[in-house]
Amino acid sequence: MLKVSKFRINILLLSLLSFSFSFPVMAELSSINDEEMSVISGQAGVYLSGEIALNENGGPIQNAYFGDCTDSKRCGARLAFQTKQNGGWFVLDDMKGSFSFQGLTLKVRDINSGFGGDGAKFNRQVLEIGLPDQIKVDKFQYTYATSSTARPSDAGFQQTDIYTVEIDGDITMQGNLLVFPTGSN
Amino acid sequence: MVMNKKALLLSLSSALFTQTAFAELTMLNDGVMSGISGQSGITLDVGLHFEAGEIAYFDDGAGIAIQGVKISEAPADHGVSTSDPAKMQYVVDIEADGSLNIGYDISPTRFEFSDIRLGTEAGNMAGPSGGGFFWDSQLVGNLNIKSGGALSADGYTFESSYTMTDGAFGYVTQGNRFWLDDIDSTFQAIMTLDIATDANGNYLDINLDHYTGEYSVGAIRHSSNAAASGGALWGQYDKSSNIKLRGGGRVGTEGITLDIQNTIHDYDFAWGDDGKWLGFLDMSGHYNIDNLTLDVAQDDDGELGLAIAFDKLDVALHIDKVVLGETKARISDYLAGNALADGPAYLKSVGSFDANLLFANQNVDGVDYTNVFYVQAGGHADAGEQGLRINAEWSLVEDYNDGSVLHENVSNITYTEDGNAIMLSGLQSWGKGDLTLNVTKAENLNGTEFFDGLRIGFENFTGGYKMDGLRVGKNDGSLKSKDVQGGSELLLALGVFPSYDFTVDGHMTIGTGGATGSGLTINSDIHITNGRAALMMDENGQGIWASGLDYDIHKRNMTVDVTDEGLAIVEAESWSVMDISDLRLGDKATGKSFGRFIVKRYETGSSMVIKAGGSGDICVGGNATDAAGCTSAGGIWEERGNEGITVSLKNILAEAVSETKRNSFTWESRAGSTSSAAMQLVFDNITTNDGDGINNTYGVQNDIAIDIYQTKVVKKTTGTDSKGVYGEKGSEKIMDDTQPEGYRYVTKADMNATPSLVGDRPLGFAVNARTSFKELSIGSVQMNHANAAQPSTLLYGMKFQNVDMRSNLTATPIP
Repeated sequence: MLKVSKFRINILLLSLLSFSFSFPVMAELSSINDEEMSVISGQAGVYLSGEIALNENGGPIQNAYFGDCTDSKRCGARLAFQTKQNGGWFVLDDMKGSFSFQGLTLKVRDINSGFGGDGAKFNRQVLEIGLPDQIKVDKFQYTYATSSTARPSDAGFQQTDIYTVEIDGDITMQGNLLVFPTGSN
Repeated sequence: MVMNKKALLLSLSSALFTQTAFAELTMLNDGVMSGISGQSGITLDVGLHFEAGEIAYFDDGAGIAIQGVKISEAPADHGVSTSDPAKMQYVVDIEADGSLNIGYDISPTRFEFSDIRLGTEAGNMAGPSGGGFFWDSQLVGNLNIKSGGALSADGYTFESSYTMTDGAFGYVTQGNRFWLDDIDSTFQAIMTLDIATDANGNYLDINLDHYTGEYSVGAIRHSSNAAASGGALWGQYDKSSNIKLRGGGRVGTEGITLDIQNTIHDYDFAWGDDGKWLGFLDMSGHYNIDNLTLDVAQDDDGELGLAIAFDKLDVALHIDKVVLGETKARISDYLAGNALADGPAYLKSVGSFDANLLFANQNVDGVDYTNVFYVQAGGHADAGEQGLRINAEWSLVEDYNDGSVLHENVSNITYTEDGNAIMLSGLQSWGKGDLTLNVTKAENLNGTEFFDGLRIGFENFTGGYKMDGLRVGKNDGSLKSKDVQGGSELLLALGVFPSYDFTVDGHMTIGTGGATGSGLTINSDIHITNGRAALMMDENGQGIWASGLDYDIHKRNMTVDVTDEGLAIVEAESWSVMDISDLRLGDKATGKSFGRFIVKRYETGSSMVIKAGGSGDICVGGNATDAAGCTSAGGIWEERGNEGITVSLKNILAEAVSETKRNSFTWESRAGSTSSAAMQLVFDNITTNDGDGINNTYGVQNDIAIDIYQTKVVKKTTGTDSKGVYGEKGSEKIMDDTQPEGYRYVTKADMNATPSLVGDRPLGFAVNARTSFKELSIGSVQMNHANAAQPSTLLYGMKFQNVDMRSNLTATPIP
């Protein structure tokens, strides 16, 4: 039996977008916001513009549960994970929507001055992810749910939808994300 | 004196046109029978059966010999050898202009030898063998010889033309044969020979101006399954060559020295597979070699080899069209300038390529590298005594100093599609190691697994390459001066790294027969150690480095076919373990590490198809299939042209069957632990299935379309950029040759007032990707600690279903 509980969040979910655009490897994130005092060396790097769209016209599975976004079936992606052996499944269901951005930059940056004197002490390289000024989000949504089985097609499938999030509009993301290792490797 | 020169030229020319040079003949046992009948000239009918035990060339006391030499009638079965005499007819005439004319008609004839050996004792060379070769041909042709060369009246001019049919050329080791079958060719050339003098002394000048020909190979075959074909080859050419030949090599007092200038006026080459062809059309360029020396000499390990070395090799090659999945008829029509039928009005082309490569001496990280190749006897140690070994050292330079001027960025590769170009700039490569060559069959010998085919082995093959970065623009003289930019990061999925150091051991064995019909089957085991690959790198070598890379890769029954779609590569089974001891940020050796990463992959039935054509017409920023719909959806309609490359990957991740044959991802870090004990986060048994947990045919599918196209670049902050060009936040970068830096920033209002400025947006490296899978499953996510008895399980399973993600990214330099 499928229960649906749905409400909209029309606020900017920076954390969600950070997750979407995060690099696969992040040892530490530091909220350094002192660009005007830093020294940049090295002109290489890449300026990326583009868009990422998820399941705009549905996914590759067409069955009793998944459709092509033209019928009443769900057409988004579905992520289920199990935290307890032989237990139930947490589900992010019906994920779909798109992002577009201009000016996401990637470069390796040497910080050896600035930051109120901390730069000289820091004196090492970081991966600088220059955040795009604005990200346009077009009808990104997902539904949080719990389920008895991993797949909707499994025998005994039951799911309870807890809530649905929809994001639509522009997100302002300024500044840089600096990523650097701190381990003893 | 003149007579002596002429005698020398005539004897040398005979040697050159027959392409053999005999320094010593031993154990001659010929059965020549000839008859002479006179008509207008002299007609010679010859039945030739020639055998020689050994023919050797000696240089400073060391020799290279071919043994078991035989000329006889070519047998119908290439796998056997006969002693029947080959039948030949020569008609010799003196023409009215005083020239000597020799017409010939040679019935199927085989020239073969069983072994190549090196040594110091004439007539008794023993030890490892380089294997044997055979060459079958049926020739009808004409050779005209007249006095007077290109440089003086003392030289000679040779005019030659022939048609060859029923040819075959093969390599044999341990009784296993790999050969090109059903070779037909035509050839026309005028060659002049002169003795000339320059500052370095006398030399023999050999000049061929615009020699032309066409050839076809009906099949590529291997003796284990002679019915299977590796496909067909075809080519036609118009080239010119000039060779200056001198006595004396690089080692000792004897040897041969050559300076060679080759011009490719036009060359077309294609590989065909069951009626579909991969073609490299309208190629042109040159390859010039300075001070190429040939010596029989010892390498650093004291092993004798034919040492081929040169001071400088300068290659410039333009390939006008690389076509995929076309028919031979359409290719021929295109080359003849005819309208194309049975398909689109254009050839399915990836685009064009330009390669500039300069090989010369250099020092890399304190080590001197040169270009020398020792061709030695003996291949893989377990494959038997026959095989070839090339002790190779190579050096491709980024910059070249000719003694007075430093030429920068002399090695690069440029890809052009629909008029827009991207250059892999500042290429540099170096290394040394052994390449081995054997023809093998599927068997286990001395603990080594061999496969059917031509085995190319790598033994302690240590080297590296790097590039400065990408340059994007029009393919003209300005491309070299464009900003070096990033963007190669977008090609990591295709295995292209901006810098890579490696030691390679292993092999790639190329067999015959594709997934269906003709084609190639490849088995390989490659182990990369001491690897260091840049995932991202700037011009100062700072970046993200996979260092301490140990990458063990195995592929079984990987078929390569040309299909309607393009070049299709299908793997029956593949597995690999990539162990990166440190993922470093900054310097490749001293940069701080994110930790260790281990990626294990096990796939069955995965495939890759390389197709001609990129994104075509797409809607960027909207979900629509036509221009009007795209505009109304808020997107930008882009027509990216017919050319470009699309790579379609299908990765079927299989269930784990062993510790190495599994899909897993491990991050190991010593951070935060007082004992610095290793802690691991393990995503284990990652598999795909068709959404039902049973079948596994869909896998993870990636379609990656690559184009070079204009993109919108917006200034993120008000002020000057890295080149000192001022712009307001939100204004667009517009290319403008009248500006000192070649561009300016234009406000949104001015863009709206002058919409045509959109046509001057900068070019970018555009990658349009679509990733989809029905289900990606992770068996478990665990935390391991060296001091813990049992791992801690974070997740007992994860299923990611029904994903279709499209991304459209364009990379440009940071303004």
